[in-house]
Amino acid sequence: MTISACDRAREAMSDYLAGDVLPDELAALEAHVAECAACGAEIDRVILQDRAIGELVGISLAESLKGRVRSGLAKVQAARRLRLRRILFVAATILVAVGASAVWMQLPSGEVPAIATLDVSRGEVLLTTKSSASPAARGMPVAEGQGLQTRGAESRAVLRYPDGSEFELRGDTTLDHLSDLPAAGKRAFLARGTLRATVVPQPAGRPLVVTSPQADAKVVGTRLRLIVGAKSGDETRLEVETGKVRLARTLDGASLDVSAGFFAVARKGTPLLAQPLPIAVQTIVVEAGDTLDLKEDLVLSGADTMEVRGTAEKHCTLRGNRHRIRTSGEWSGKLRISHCDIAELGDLVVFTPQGRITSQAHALELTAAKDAEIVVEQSTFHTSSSVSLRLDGTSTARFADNTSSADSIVWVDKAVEKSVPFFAATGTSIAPKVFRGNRIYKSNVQISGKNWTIGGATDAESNLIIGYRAGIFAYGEGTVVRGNYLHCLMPRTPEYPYWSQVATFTTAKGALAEHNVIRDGEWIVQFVEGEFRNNLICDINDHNLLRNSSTGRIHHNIFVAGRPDHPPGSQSGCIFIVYAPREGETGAEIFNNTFDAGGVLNIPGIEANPGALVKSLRNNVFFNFPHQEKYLRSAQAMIRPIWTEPLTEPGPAQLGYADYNAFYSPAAKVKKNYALSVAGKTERRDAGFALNDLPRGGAPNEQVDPKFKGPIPTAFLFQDEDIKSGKVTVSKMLAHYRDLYTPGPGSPLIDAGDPADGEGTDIGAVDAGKPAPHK
Amino acid sequence: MENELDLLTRAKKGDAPAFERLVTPQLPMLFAYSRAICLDFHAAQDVVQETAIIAFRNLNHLFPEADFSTWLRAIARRQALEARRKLHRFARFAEEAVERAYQDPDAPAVLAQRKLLGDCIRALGERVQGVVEEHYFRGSRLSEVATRLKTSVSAVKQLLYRGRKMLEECVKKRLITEQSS
Repeated sequence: MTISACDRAREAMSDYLAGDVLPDELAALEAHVAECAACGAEIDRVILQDRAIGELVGISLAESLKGRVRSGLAKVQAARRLRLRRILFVAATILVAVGASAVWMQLPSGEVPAIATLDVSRGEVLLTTKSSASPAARGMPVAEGQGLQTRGAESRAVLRYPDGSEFELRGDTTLDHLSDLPAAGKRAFLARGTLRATVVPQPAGRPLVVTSPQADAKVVGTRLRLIVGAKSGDETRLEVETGKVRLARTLDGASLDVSAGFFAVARKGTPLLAQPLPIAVQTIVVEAGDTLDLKEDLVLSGADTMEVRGTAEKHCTLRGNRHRIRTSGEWSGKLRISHCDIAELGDLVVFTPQGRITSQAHALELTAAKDAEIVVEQSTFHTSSSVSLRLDGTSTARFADNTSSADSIVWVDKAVEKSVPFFAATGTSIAPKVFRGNRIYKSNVQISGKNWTIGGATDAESNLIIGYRAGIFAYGEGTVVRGNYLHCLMPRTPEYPYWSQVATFTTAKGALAEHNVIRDGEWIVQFVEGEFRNNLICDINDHNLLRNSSTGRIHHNIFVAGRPDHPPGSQSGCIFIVYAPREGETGAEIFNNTFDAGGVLNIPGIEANPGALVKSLRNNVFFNFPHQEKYLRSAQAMIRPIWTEPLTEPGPAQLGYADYNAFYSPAAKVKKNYALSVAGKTERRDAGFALNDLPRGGAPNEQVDPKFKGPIPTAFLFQDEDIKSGKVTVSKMLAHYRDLYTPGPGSPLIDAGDPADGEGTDIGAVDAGKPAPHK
Repeated sequence: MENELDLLTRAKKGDAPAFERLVTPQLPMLFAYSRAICLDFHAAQDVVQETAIIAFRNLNHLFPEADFSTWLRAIARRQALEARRKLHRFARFAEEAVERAYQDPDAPAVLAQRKLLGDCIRALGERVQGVVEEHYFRGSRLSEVATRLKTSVSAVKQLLYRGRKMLEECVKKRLITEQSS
């Protein structure tokens, strides 16, 4: 008897389910299934049987599983109670700790909360308690009562508090008794050495106090340097760069306020006087063709300026050696980097054992105030970390024509909370800012400041963001996101067996997003609460092509299924309206879009949660949806309530207006156009509810071929490599797709749109009678 | 009877017994699903426990559009994939088939099979039944079953394969009988 390939494949499938298949058998099975439809169907049957047996086993294990769940929950509850006890313990101890903080020193460090994080650790750095000292590494939390020591001239440590204040220790320095109690504020004892403190404004009545053997320096918010024992060991010198510091001599209680630009020395027998301090503005210039090798973090403050003056012919080189360029305290200077090859700038993120990011070590970490200016252009980032900007005052930024290569060390993970954006910008500056012409090949761009232009009107200004967790998330009002290409890669590999919470595009209220090509993601577009128009959205994975609140204007977009590179999960509609209208929201407007399900998506065109509202649904084409009788738990329909809700007749009144739409899904087993309704109107009888859907005046659920010019693509038509090389541009891609989805000769879409949008308006994203939109 | 929404509201406030009542009906499905992905009886039980813990800790992150059992399955999927990464190679086509098989939590075909499978397993011949029970219900690896039955692993694989086919036939016959009566 000969065994057929199908028999062998089915036996291998049985072995696979038993967890005991050999690699070559698995490879042969995969190859066979790819070609044999009968075995593909057989596998569905076998796995359904496996589910039934598995659930039967699960029922037999019910008590044991329940017991395990109960014990797991008990552990969670116990951990919650412990956390609560710690909070109560801290609160109670505050009463004791005022004036007696040494109590904390006697506590084991594991029992007290961390107050700050060690953000830089170079050379010999020790974390100390009253009775011990152990080596300290970047990212380590420093707890109440602990101290820090740096040893040797080259050693350096930076301790960063959650509010942004920081202490920098250099050389042989000992800082003890670190404390940050809610009732008392930040405290530290500088036993010896040099401490530079940058202190953000502290809460009223809780100044930061650094004590030395000779004096107390009381700080509300400033930048200062405190030096103990620099010469004879019996003096404390205070230098104030910004703000004002009260220095009180311990010996006799004498005190004085030392202002910015002054210093004072607390020493026995010397008058306590403030004297002028020469503060030099640092200017760093790297001329064209030169190299800058960082030996430590390059720190800008005050009005410091840095210029890297590369040219197209003579690039500069910046070797970071895992150090960073960052600001300290208020910085209102200028940073200009042009034509620079940047390597190893910034360091890897550090995680706590629980997987939380504790230290990021950005390549550029700049907080800009007043009229500071940041320009980074025509530069490449190799094996470097991320860029983090905070722009306040009227500060500006221009980040243009840079490349961050795929060898970037920006951390990207299958879990979203462990992933870091390549470029992040926040701050209150409303000055115009620019992010354009960049090539980002790992991670994404997150901008929450206002008035950014991301991309631009020409192809040269397009940002190309391609790679793991690629995307643009622009949360600021007045921001324009135009003409970008985003392709989020989500390969399933042993390193990335799954991807979680992958969105690729977001814009907020008051923002405009247009002419972008956006591919891949679990929610490819997640919340566009302003204007979202003339975009191409492609390659759906789990969930939605677009997920939104009951707001926003979504129009003239082409949504296509593409070829999803992901197993089907909990997919839901092409557009899912998640929330009921919140204050000031009147419902989403969805008009003149073309939805092409490519014959592969058994999902609704529009799906809405209870209470969610679509204000206007008009002039859209819903094309080639292979609808089956059932959609997860209930019957299928094109415009419908969430999948957990059964369909009713009429459907819930969650459409404000729905007319002039076209439906055509020849392969669908079920053709139901509307399972949501317009209040007070009857489908196909009343204007405003499908009366003018195609064919005009037809029966409910009637459909008509839109006769696109075509040919309709089954997969995305362009290659990333061609896009990276510039062979294919964003405008070329958009023009090609718009041409394919233009109504062809004899198309019923032509001039059949809502006359309220202008006489001769076509249905769908592309109007045959009008010039294509710019880009 | 307590409804899911009430239990969910209470569980979100930290009520562990309410959460336990909410999750208990889902446990057999979660176990079967996790096992189908990580292909390991014991790891699947760990996955179920871990899934429940993660869900309890993160209930406030449950999307408003999400169905509770689907959400649990999504968590279990992540956990099971992690477990599988340590245990086995995986086949993409099988994974897709698993997703299809579990998409409908109340799939009538599964409920019908589950009802009849117990009798069908008992009707298997002693040797095949032994392999099915050892492997599925006691979580024994095929090599362990082979040692116990004093036979080779490939013989156990054959018995299991035959067992699956016989069960399919048995369920099919009984369904026809049920329908005709």
